Amino acid sequence: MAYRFILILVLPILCQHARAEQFCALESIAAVTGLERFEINENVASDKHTGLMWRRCFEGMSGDNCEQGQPLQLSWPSALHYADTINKQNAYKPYKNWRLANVKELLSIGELQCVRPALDLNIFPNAPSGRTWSSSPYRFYPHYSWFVDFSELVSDHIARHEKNFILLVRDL
Amino acid sequence: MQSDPGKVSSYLNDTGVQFAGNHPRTINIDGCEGKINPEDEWVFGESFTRLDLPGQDCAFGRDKNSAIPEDGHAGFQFQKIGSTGEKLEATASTWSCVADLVSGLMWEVKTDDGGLHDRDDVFSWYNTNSQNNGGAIGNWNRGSENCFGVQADNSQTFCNTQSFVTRVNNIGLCGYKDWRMPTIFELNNLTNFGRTEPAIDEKYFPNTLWAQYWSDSPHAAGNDIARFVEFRFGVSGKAHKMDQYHVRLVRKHSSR
Repeated sequence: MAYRFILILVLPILCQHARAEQFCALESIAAVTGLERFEINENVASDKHTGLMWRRCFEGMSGDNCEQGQPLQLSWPSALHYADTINKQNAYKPYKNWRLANVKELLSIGELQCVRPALDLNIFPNAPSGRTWSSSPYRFYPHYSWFVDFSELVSDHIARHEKNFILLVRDL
Repeated sequence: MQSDPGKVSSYLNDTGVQFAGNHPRTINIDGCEGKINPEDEWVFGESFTRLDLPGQDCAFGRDKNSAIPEDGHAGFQFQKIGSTGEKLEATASTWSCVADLVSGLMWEVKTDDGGLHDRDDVFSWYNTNSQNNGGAIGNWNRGSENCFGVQADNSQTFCNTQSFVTRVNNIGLCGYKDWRMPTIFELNNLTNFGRTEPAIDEKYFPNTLWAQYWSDSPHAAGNDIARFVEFRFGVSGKAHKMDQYHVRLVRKHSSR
């Protein structure tokens, strides 16, 4: 069966707030995440492949389905401070070692089958589509750090003052 | 042989980043402490209640806890493999494959000899598995002579990714015949984000070009696009299946 669908060009200037529908190529791309791989426990999801535990809601969102609030967008330094504050305040009991993911860890949760976002919304409900900060600074231009854009699951680098989404992780 | 679409590398490598970023610019390659300079105009008016930058990539993981320089830069752990599959010393001057002991994969090493594994060969994206090709097989690239051993009347020799896999498995590499294209996750896991030009450990992977390398991962936004990692800086992206990029094959080596 041939799929025909329109290649959507997402203008970067609109990208961060556009709430276009998720699309999943169910018959022509195999899912790579899912509930056999991720173990859900209320507001956290543990990945058996990588030994990482993720918050299911992007920061700024809350509720059983992350349906409340708005996704928080911070600069890179503020995102690092934010994660540290979460731990100091014990905001996400019982664990106090939450952090930003490095760029490889952040890419590893991507769902190839879908775009907008390229995430399994059963694992990460209401996840925003857009640039999400990693903890990894960039080697070549020393004013950039790495992000993953979950609209289409690509990795790239951007200046540290830019405001991106935040997803927290911890080691199991 | 098709890649296993569901398999992120079971054991993620660390990133290779062993330095800290400062804000708004510079990096600290001597250590893992980053600092904010609030006087720098590139903070663009943002104010801060603290000037440290804790919890960066360099503070965690194999790069920090178990890095041994002899077996690969930072937390990577590689082993050179000879043409018949034998394990070699880190100082070996010739090798044909590299085993990644963290991810359990084995990688093809490219050459500069004009042969089947030459670094300059490029391939279009081609995958006849309709369950995982994103809805279109791609481009079989008839007419291209940009790879070793192409014959105009034999489609198994065309310069596309699927035919390259077939040819390598017909001959074997390092004593194995189960090579396949990597997934985008496996290519990202090989990338060394602590290096650029190229973003890989050249002591184990010489002949890596500052160019795009195909994964066989399709893209849900279009049946005519697929995913690559470029190894000049380590960025991952999407491109048309007809585009001709480099290839590095992989196989599963050990179950960890």
